[in-house]
Amino acid sequence: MTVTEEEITTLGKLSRIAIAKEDLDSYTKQINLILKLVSELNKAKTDNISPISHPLDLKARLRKDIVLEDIPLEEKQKCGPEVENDLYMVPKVID
Amino acid sequence: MDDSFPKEILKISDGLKKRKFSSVEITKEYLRRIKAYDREINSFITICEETAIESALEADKRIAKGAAGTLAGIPYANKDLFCTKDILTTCGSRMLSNFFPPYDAEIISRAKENSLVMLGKTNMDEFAMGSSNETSYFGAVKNPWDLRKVPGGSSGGSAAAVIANLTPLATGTDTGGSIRQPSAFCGVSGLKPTYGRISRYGMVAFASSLDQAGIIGHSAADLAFFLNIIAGFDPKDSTCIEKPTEDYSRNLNFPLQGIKFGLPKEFFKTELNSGLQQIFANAISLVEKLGGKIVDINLPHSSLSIPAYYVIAPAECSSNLARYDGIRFGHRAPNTSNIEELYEKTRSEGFGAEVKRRVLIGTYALSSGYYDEYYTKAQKVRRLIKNDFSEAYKSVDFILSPTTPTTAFPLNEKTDDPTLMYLQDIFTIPASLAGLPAISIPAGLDKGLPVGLQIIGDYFQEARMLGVANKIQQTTDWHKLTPKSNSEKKL
Repeated sequence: MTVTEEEITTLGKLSRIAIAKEDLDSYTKQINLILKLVSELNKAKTDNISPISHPLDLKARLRKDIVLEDIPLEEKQKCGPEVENDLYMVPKVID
Repeated sequence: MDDSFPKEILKISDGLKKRKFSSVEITKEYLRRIKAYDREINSFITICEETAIESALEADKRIAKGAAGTLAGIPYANKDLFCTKDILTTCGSRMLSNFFPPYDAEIISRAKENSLVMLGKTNMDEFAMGSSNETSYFGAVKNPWDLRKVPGGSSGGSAAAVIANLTPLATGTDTGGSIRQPSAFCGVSGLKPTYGRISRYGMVAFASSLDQAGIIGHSAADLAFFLNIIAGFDPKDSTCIEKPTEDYSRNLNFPLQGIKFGLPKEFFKTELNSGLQQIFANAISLVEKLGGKIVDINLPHSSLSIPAYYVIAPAECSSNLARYDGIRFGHRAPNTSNIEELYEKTRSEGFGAEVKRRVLIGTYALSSGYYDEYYTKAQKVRRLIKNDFSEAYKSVDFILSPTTPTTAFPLNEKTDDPTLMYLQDIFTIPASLAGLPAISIPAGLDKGLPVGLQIIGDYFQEARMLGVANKIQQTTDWHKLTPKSNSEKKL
């Protein structure tokens, strides 16, 4: 399986990463090298093998839905690149 | 290093308790060394001079009251992907070059509770993606053994800082070899515990089913004492294992008599140069001399580890890194007119090339129509790899291998074809996929550069594994070799 420059552009759009035209060729070549490497997986016989998600096969632990500890909003918003009146600023999304 | 200060954790601890020196004095000495030598090595992104002295003062008070544990007052460094409250946490990326977290990672909290003194935050490959520390936004780290060589990655800053004697201990993280490979390249001891043994809370996520916090230090004994503090269940990490910890230093005099060590036949299909082969053969002879029994084993699916890893890790990375949107924290591109443009510009500016490649690969592997072909297939192969280890541990106690297929390579050597760099982790990725604990310890020098010996244990066998490593270190001085003793370069 290989990908084309056009498909790399689409993957970039899906990932919200713009790939500059001058970089498209190198990204395509490099990603095709990686896809060639991972195509080795096809050699493995995996019929009747269940996929693994946790290395120790543990299920996600659930806890009661109560707040245990919270960081004050002001503290959290100190990390925000653009904050005004306790609100995160974003470009206009609705006309 | 001023000779009045020892390097070993127990000796530093003893010196502090007996008031031979104070935590403030030893902390100032390490800070002096960082300022003097790190300009060349670049192993630190942030030096925490002020807070380190404050913590050292507090530690001295606690020691004076007789209320301090073994590690109180001992300086250490943190890989720059552990969140540190109000202290810059960059993950080696432009994306987080302005990020001052509002909370501490769990292991930072535990170190604080035990009065360790944080010297600073160490350099790393961007978002822990790399094996050379060349992908850091803050510049490559240089290997103290040879400044023209890489220190390995992604915890390259931590490993380089330890061997350059800029800190006696450092934290790291290991997703596919990111503690063990730089430890091998820099000639230090590096432990990746069982997946889930240490909390991931406050650790910037890369590939959540593989990421594991660990430790880098001068010896297995030093690692054992630090592990005692940071291991253990944390309800804030849903993948952390709810299992009691143990005293990881209790097996440090572990006898190797009758212990079986497996050598995976498949690992030795990889071509090693004659120097590395000889060093590994010497290590095996030593284990035999100490009473260990060497057994050939098979890990038939291990050759598929790298392909499986390079589907699973990028897939999880593309999902984890979706959070970087320029709104709540991190870098934000200026002058954008709509939300789509804000996301796209922010991420294009904030991420480096290797991160972008992995996000693209992960997006591809998880996209409709390819999910089963890539991601499900890789997770099935991962089970086959785990099953291989389970079978092997029916007949052996530990598995031995070289940590890496080469010694440290030159800077800028492997950056054109990313897959060449990926092969660096050929011996470390299998244990990562299986979630097993593993350690790399120094095994000697090849042409003046360190070689690592990897010991892989069964689940939760950290104490015995550290015991094996310590036994080797009691018998040899490989872990005491430093760039200074190798050359006349003053470090």
